[in-house]
Amino acid sequence: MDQSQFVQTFERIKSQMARVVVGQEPLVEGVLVALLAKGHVLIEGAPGLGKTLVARTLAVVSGCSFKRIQFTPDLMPSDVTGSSIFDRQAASFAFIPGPIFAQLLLTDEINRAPAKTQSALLEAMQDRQVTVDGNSRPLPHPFCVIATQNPVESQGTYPLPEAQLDRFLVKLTVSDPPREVEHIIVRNHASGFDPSDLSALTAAVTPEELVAMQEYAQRIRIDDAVVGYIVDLVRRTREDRAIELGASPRASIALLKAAQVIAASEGRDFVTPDDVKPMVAPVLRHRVMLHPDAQLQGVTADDRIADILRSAPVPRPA
Amino acid sequence: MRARSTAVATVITTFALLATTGSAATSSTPEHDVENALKEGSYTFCSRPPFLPTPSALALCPLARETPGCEAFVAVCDRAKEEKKPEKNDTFSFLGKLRDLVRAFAVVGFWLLVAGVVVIVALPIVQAILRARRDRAVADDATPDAAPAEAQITLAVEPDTSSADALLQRANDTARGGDGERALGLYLAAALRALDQRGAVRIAKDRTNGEYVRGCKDPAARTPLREIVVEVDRVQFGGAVVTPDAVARAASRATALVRNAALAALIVGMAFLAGCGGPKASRASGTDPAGDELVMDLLRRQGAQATRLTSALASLPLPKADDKTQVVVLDMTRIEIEEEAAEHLVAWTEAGGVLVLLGHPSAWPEKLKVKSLTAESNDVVVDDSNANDDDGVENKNENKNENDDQPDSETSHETRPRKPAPSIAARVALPQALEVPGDGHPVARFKGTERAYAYTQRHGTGMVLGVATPDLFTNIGVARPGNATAVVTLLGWLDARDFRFAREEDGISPPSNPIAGLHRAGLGLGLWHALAAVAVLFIGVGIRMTRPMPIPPPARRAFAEHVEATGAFYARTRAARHALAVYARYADELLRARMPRGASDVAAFLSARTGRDAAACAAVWDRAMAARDATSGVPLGAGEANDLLLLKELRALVVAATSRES
Repeated sequence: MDQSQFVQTFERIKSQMARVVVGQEPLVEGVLVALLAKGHVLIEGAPGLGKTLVARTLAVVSGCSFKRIQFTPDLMPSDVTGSSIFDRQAASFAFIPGPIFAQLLLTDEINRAPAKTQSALLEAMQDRQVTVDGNSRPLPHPFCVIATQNPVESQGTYPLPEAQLDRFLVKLTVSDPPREVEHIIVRNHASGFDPSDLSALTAAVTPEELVAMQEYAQRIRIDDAVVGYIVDLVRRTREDRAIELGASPRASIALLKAAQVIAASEGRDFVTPDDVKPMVAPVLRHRVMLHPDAQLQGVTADDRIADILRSAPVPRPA
Repeated sequence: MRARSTAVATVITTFALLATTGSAATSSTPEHDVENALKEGSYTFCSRPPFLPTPSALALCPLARETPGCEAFVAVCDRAKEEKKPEKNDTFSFLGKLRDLVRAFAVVGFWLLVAGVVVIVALPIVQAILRARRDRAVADDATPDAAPAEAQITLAVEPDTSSADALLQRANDTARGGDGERALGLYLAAALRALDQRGAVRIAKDRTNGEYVRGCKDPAARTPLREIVVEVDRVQFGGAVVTPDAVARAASRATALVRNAALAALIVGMAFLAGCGGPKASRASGTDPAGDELVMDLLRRQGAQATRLTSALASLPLPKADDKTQVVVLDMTRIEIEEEAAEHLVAWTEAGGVLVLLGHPSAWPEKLKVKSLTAESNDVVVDDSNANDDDGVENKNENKNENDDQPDSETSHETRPRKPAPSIAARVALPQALEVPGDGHPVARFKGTERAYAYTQRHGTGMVLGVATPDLFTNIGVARPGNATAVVTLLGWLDARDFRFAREEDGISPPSNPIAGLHRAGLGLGLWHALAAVAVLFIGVGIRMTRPMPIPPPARRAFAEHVEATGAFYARTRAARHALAVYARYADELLRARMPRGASDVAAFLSARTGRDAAACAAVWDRAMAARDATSGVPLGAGEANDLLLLKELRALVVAATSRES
């Protein structure tokens, strides 16, 4: 994989997805960046905005194996990871893998399952393996969890714990489409488009190519000045008085990885602050915990991140 | 005839001696000066008068008919006279109503506009204040020491530290010195500075190079800027080696951007100069027949100084003893002065100033007012001031030299001995005279009568020259043949050479503060509305920003109030025994519930709990129980006071017994 191949493949995936997903380019790009940065995605948005469609389309376009779990309050960890079942004929326990053993895992409405079940994802997301009955089983490559949640409903939901949130590389928010975009969506449906039938789509890339792209993105050069900029941004979240709990060093690493993918997709072999800036909000917004006073004042994490970006000087030529 | 020529010559001599510029000013008579001024100057009040002349100008129409070359203004006067006849007809009435209606709508629209502007202005301010409040913590903490070492990438070259040209020059010098990497940064800084000066980009510490390119408002500059940024980023962040080609490319792009910026600034500057210079140069003066430009011009040609007043009347500096005599000419038909300004003007005059008051005396400052009279003629005769001196001007100067130890004002303003003086004839438009005050001296009279047209009067160390009408001091008035000499002669009584003509706005004293200024401009109501709107906005938005205050728990007063009310009710109804019975029943239930299982003697329980004498407790308890059981027949004592006393004792016992237990 070289620079031009990376850019071409990246654009090919985007154009394939654009055939189905209309008007959600930032969401598509964010999901792709997370996938290529070996991260996981949390998508938050009201129902009906195409969160699940994006995940399903990516699964088809990327050629990865895809599983979907609808998180419900009675979902058990073993329903996610799989469990050992006694085989009478063999007179031994046999491990039946759960849906987590897929390259793309869509966990729909992740906040509807209790913390116990949500925690079943912790090891998988961080170490890319699942331990059941003392046996650790590796997950396939690439492996990406795409979780969705609805910010509107709070009845019967379980907010994700901080440890869980921290494991998502980015949190993408989906907003209502503009009128003209909505017009196109409705017209497409009138023309016979069926979102449940994505057979018309073809894979634009293979899982192996995705892994190669991941490895290429990791090799993108990042200057010390840019690293300093990233660290400065993240540290400022810890010094901000409106933020009770700032982002962890894992956030700095996530920001670095995301910036590397952005730089690679732009056809560069080095990262500039311009690659860092657009990923700051998606990477940090779910990793900071606002002070209750700030929350009462109506301040949002995005507001504080925007202010931090405004206050942090960008590295310049020395 | 001989007397007239002598007087004119004397007046000319007076001004000649008073003039600092000496010889040049006094080579001709006032009439010649006016003629020359009309020929040389751009006075159009006669040849091209305003289409709609002011009432003041129309009042001067009689003088215009006697002025050569004023046929155009006469025609305007005739037309105005014709139009004045059919005044009140239906069309005008309808138009008047329509005008009133439009005015009402305009007023409403204006206030709506003001309200809108206030909201538009106040909203971002409020948002900015709130944002600043949130940012304050971050800004305070964002000191360079607190930042990590990696982030302290200070700019050796800040784009906004100097001009684009200087940065470009430094970049070129650096490139010639062989420091390509630093030169690239300087080229970028120069380009950004140039674009910032043009308003195409906004330089800020938080903006990335890519943001500068994307946010560049000049599409033509975007491509060269991107090329510079690519070179800079490749070297700075990509670790690429700087090549001479890269530096040369960046240099050419940056030079083009900087030079274009200079060119744009030059074009804007030229356009500005062209736009600002033209109309002013071609602006004509002396268009109003009722104006005073020609009078000022005449005085200047006669060697005096004649300028506009540069300060408000209310803030005229009080003259000092050694100051030159300064004359303020005030046309009260045009200038409305406030009470404060009028008072200051009187004080200024008493302190040594010389005031020329023109117009109807009723409009003059209260302390200077005189009675207005009507004359029967329009012909005025002005006395020659210098003719009262035996030897004319020379004699006057000698007198002045003899009195050198006295202040100038004392000598110069002294009323002279009266003699039959040669007089200068003039004509005014309005036959309006005035009554000379007791200590005043008439200097101009209506021909054939004793009615005064102008007088001088001492006020403190200053002087007032009162003139009944401003006719002679207008363009058309002074242009009429013969009037110019009369004006000069009249002003000759003041023995001064520095004349300041007040403008309409000079009568208004300057506001003491911005709010007073807005009030005067008629925006007072709007100001208060704006303040109220801002206050409402602050309350409306700010209330959301307040911290929630802990709500104090409501005082548990319900039961206490109930008891007090019940007690008051018992007191009003004189039912102390009933109260005692009720409380005894309550105490019985309460104490029995607290007593040990199997015990039944409440009195003994009370004694044990309170430590009081058993017999006393038993006595109180028995009486209480008797009150509870009204049919028992046990005597309770002698009346209500005893009942209340017993109630008090019982309560003390119950409280003591139960509190100890708790």
